[in-house]
Amino acid sequence: MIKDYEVNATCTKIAILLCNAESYRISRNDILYCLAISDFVSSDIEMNSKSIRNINSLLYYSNILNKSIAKMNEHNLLFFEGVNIAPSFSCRELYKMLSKVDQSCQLITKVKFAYEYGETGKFLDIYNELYENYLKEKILLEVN
Amino acid sequence: MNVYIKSLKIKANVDVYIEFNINTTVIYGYTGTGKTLMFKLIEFALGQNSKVDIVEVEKKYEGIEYVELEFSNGIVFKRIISNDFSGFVKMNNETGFESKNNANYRLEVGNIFGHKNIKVIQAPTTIGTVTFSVPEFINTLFFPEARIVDDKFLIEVEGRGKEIKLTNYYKYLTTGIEIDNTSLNSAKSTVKAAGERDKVKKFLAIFKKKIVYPKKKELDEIESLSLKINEVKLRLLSMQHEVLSIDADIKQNKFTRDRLLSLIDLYEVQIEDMYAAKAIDMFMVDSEISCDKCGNKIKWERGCSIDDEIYDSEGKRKDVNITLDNLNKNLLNLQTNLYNSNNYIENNMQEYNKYVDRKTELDKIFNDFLVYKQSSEVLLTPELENSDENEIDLYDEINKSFEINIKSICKKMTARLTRWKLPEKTDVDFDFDNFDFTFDGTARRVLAKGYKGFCTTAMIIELVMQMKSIGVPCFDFILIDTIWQTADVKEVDIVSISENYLKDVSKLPLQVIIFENKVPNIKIESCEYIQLYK
Repeated sequence: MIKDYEVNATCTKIAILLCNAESYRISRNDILYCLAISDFVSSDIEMNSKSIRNINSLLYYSNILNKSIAKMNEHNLLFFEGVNIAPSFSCRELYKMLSKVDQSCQLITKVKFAYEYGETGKFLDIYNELYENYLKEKILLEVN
Repeated sequence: MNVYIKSLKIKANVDVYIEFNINTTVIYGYTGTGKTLMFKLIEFALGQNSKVDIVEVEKKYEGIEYVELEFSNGIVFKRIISNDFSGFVKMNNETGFESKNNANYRLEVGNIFGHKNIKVIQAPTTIGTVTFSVPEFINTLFFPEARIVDDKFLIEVEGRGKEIKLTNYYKYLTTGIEIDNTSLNSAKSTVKAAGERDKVKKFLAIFKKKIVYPKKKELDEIESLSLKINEVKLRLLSMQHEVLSIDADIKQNKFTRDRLLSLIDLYEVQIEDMYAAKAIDMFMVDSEISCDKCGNKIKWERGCSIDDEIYDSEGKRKDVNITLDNLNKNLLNLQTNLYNSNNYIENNMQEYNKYVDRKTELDKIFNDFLVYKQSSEVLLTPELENSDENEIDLYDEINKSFEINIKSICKKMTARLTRWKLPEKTDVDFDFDNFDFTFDGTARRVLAKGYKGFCTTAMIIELVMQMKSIGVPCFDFILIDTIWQTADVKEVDIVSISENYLKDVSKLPLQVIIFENKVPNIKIESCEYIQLYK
């Protein structure tokens, strides 16, 4: 069951991502990876492998991402260019505002960091492997 | 004073020079680094009969010319690597001379250690003497690769041990009683009791010098030590049991702690998300957008009671943190307990070892005394004491004293093998029919590879010690080639066995040179370690 605050939080993360990647056009899959990877990365640049959510974060985010993108699209925070997504003017405003609030949760550094790593592909392999394992476990559970 | 090998020099395009320790030297290196070849070259320099394989030596030491051994008394032996014999002996006053042939050369080597030609009668019924000279002596005391299965060297002597001449030779090694030409005729018929009595008394006198008489106090101490050892053993057992249970507790607690930590992680991610959601709410709170087509207005939906949820999640996190704190305290207690228990065990272990060491020491005194007492009873029979003209069969006497000595050697071997903590084959006996030692009833020559190595090493050590104690000339050094790498016991056992073995061997009053693939983890101060590279 996806909670309301989870959709809103994801919207914030997407906004930060898009504004950091101002010169790029980001695809939906890029966002998905970066969101998932941001769960792997803790603020002190270590792999945060303890979190339970890490294992199934791709599923979690792909569900939540659809809702969040729809909601942001409704409010003109982003727009589509072919298969890519680009930030709107108000999204940048949101980003500025966030940097003021951010002192409490350090969200910007974290997502920025995750984006950089996501782009180098360093974590993608690890993530894919974990995700595969997760799927296997899930199938096993269902079969039993 | 012991004469030991001071250094080895192999003259080749690249010279090899090794200085040996007076006590124990461990030379180690992986297979193919030339350990066995070095072993063979030392034998070669000592005048070993068999020729070295020049092609093989050339492969390892390119342009090899000669091998040179320097002894601690300054004498140098140099032997040229070639098919024809060519050897030089250099005394400490720098005047050297060339040996004419191999036998001459070996004689010189033997002289250092007081060797001489030994005459042993062939059989009581046939007249004739067989002279044993230094080469046989070398053969009996060298212990080349234990892993070699074909029976050579000492094993060869034993293999021929059924022949009477070698049996006698073997008896000479263990009793020191030489059957020479003068006794040949009388041995056939009779010997004068008076002369024999002198011999026996002389032998006993030498023996007596080595003996320490045990006192009543020491006997009592042995008894009380056995009681103490049992007591400490029980204490140790119960403590080890406790340590195991504490270990299990710690494992369980650590597992729970990991679970709690991942739960806290989860809460933290959630709380972060909630703050993010709160931020976007603040930004979008008044935003309103109208649809281009229908004109309907869309409002941003506020995440309901986000503050309550933050409060709720933070409360949960706090609860988990408290539980975690308690758990950590508990864990700390357990770890302190474990540390104390381990300390306790260590202290007790030291006490235990102290008792065991003292008991072995006392046992040895007591055993030696028993052997002495028995041998004096057997050798100094009333007939021998009282009469001057009695007929005595010399062979009987030698056999009796051989029997006593070989049994005492067996006891010592058993003690040594037990000290090395060999899992089996520690009960040593002597089979007089086949003239071979038996270990747990198995003849030494048919033992499995690994056991054979350890058992033969123990045998050589005890034989050499026996010869030294009764004044039979012998070498002051032992060479041992790769025995624990070939051993057929469990991996865990072999590590502790080889450690005990090295500890024990390093205490011997002999020079020991060990060739091994790998050294055990312990480093003993009195040992020197030399590594060979390819």
